[in-house]
This record gives sequence, C-alpha cells and structure tokens, in this order.
Amino acid sequence: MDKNSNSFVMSFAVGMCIVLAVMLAGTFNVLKDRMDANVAFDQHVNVLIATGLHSRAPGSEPKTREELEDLYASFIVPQVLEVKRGVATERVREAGVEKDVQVERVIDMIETDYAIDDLPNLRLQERRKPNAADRREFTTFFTRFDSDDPATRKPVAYCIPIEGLGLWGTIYGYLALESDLDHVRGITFYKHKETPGLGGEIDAAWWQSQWPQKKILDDRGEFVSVSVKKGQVDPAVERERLHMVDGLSGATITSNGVTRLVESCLQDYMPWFARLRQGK
Amino acid sequence: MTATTDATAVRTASGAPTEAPLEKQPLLGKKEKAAVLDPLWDNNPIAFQVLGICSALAVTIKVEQTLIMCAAVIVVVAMSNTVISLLRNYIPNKIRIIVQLTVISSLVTVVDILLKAYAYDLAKGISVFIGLIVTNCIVMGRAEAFAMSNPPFRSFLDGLGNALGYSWILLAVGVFRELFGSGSILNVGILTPTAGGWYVNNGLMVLAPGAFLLLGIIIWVVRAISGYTER
Repeated sequence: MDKNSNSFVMSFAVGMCIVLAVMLAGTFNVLKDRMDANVAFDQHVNVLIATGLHSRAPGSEPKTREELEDLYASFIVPQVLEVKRGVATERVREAGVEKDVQVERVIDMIETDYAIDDLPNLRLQERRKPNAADRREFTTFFTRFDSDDPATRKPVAYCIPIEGLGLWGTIYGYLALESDLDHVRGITFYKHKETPGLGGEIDAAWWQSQWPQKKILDDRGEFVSVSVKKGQVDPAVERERLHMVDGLSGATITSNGVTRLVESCLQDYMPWFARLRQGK
Repeated sequence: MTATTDATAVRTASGAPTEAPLEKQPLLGKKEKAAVLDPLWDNNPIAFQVLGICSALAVTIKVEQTLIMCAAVIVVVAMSNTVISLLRNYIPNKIRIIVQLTVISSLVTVVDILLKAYAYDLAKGISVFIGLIVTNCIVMGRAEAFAMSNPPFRSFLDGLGNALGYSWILLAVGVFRELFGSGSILNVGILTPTAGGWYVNNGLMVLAPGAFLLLGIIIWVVRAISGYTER
C-alpha cells in the first residue's frame, strides 16, 4: 500500500486518534475513583491539621491513612451551608470622617441538610441554572468535637475553607478557630502554585506555627482578622502581637495574598459565627 | 560515533530501515550497549546537545520533585521510543511529527493520571511540570532521530539511556539547589536555616537564574573532563 497516499494518511490519523483516545479515557475512568478518593483524603488530612488533630511538623508521629480517616470520622462533623449575598451598610473612617458605605458581601449563611459529598453535584446543578439570579451558593464548614460520642460531646474548634489569589495562582487551605470563634487554632494550605522556597514556605511548619492563638477580633469584639506583616512582628506593639504574623522574605505578594484571603474568607463567615454564638 | 549518525547509517538507499536477522544478535549487542551508555556521558542530552534544559530549571528546586520528574521522563522517553519504533514502518512521512507528538502527549497524560492515583502527595506539587514533558525536546528528539529508524528494543534502550543521562544531571542540579536554597536534602535538614540556626538560605538557588548558573557550571565541568568543544 502507498504510505503517502492521502487515504492512508487520513485513515492512519483517524485510527491513531481513536486508539489513543480509548486508551486515555480507559485509564482515566479506571483510576478516577482512586484519584477522587486521594483528593478527598488530602482535604480531610488538612482539616485534621488545622484543627490540631494531626501534624506534619518534623518530629511529630506519623499516622497511617486508616488512622487519619478514623480520626476524621470520629471527631470532625462537616456541614454544607447556603450562602446569601446582599448589600450591607458598613461604617468606615475616611480622612478622619466616619461615614456609612454600602458594600456587597455575604449577609447570611443558613444550615442545609445536604451531605458534603453532594456538594460537587449541587454546585454543578446551580451553575446550569439559566437565570443567574436563581443560583444558590454553597460552602462548607467543619466542627471538631472533643469526643466521638454524639450525645455528650462539645465543639472545641471550627474550621473554614479559605481560598484566594497568591502570586502564581489561587491558594487553597483551611483555617481553624477555637470554640470562642476568636483565637486561631491553626492554618494549612493544600493547594497553591507559590514559588517553592519563597512563597511556598506558607506550607512550612515553622511559619504556620505562628498562627495559633492570634486573635481575629479586637478588644471591642470588632472583626480585624489576622494579617501577615512585611517583616517581623514586634512583640512590644499589642496590635502586632495579637493580630499579625511574620512575613515571608522574598514573598511579599504571597504574604499580602494570604492576608487578603484570610480576611475575606473570615468576613464571609461572620454572619454564621454570629448565629453560632447566639446558639450557645 | 553518535547514536544519531549511527541511526542514519542503518538506512538503505530506499529509505527503509533494515534489520539484521534477530537470531544472530545477542540480547545486548554493541549497538544496544551504545544506545544506553552513549547518552550517559559521551553524548549526554543536556551536557552536549543542550536539550531539555527548560525542565532542568523548573523542577530542580527540591530533590524529591526532581526524582519524580526523572522517573516520569524515563518512562515517557522509553515508552514513546518503543511505540514509535513499533509503528515506524507504518507512520506516513507527511504526518510523522504529529503522530510522534500524539503518542508522547498520550503517554505523558497517562503518567500524570497514574501519579495522581498512586502518589497523590508527590503529584500535587509537580503535576504542571509533568504536563510539560510533552514539550521536552529530548522526547521528540529521540523519537525523530532514533526510534523512526531503529528496531523497538534498541529504541527502548536508547530512550532509557537518554532519560538516565538527563536524570543524573537534573539530580546534580537538584541536590545543590535544595542544599543551598533550602538547607536540606530530600527534606531532611542538613544546614540549619536561621531562626535558631546559622545558615541563611540562598534565595538565588530557589529561583530559575540559580539553576541556570549551576547548569552552566555542570556543563562546563562535564565538557572540560571529556575535552569536548563546539565546532
């Protein structure tokens, strides 16, 4: 057969595409469950780290996958919340004058009955709605309890997902608060594209270990968040000691990104935290 | 004699590659050995051909990442060479580059999926670079220069040799970059970084220019030892 005839070239190309497509689709489908399980497990581990049930710091004891899944199943209760956005009035100080401004933000979060595994389908379903105004928004929330007995246990920590822009892409992680919803319990990042060795140090145990016991509220109970300072925190200054962590040198944009994403994600959860406080 | 000129020498006047009868050849003949050993030093893809250095810059920040990258490249080059070599008598000349690329990118995708399924923690940090193996000049270079005109087993060995030649240079760069950039090797602290220690991490080493400098030094050393000069 003539190898260079048009018909041979065409049929070779088509045949090649079909064979490779089938091979790729096959591999993906066979391993899809495994990949999804890995992603879910990775998120579970990060919730455990943020809430203080597990640590990746050097010297901490290693745990098997079963042990970690077991810890997660026993102590962590995930919830799906519905997010309501709207316009809120905020008092700001500008050039020494206090005035009211209208800001668009999350004004409420409501408990739902959806399981956390339903979330991907739920979000897909909402995205498919033709009318943008009808779309609902969902988020997750994790409560860490002190024992695995549902009758008597009390929450000891709460964990929220955090995400926002760093230097090279979106940073994803979890932030956990103590049960007073004021002091930070821990922070982790499970997906980011920051420069290894510079911004990538947000993964380092020594840097994350500064976060616990920082306060997100000031002494009047107003939300101030925790920010990453450019430079080192001065312990003599109360505002810095309570609400700031050391910056990463050579990673100003990552540091600022973390400041912004922590603030905006915590801000979103403020209505839900208010509900939790009232519930007590 | 380099592998490339060796490959063209096998071609006959009609352009079709010839193969010596199989029963007369030992499993690892002279040509087979040369296919593996040549690219390790004498014809190293990075040190002499200066191919595939883009990934040598990107993935050598930590040794762990470098190891995964090397393993992935070894699998992809060896497999793509084998597959292309098996198909070499059927691939139409007009679309051979596209066919090679399709085979290579499919293999890279499979490797990426396998890593995500079986070594998720490692795959997480390196997934984007695995995808970029498609554009690594070594893979297509070997497919076009060797696999298109050599039998499958020899092509497999050639792919293996080239990938190993690429790997050892990458590892050398990675060891230096992690040691001086992060003060550790395989995430085990060796030079204690500041905050209690004495070593200040060298920021240049974790950025691409640091890799460029190191790579330049390594290529210089290798070429100085073997006495190679560009003509």
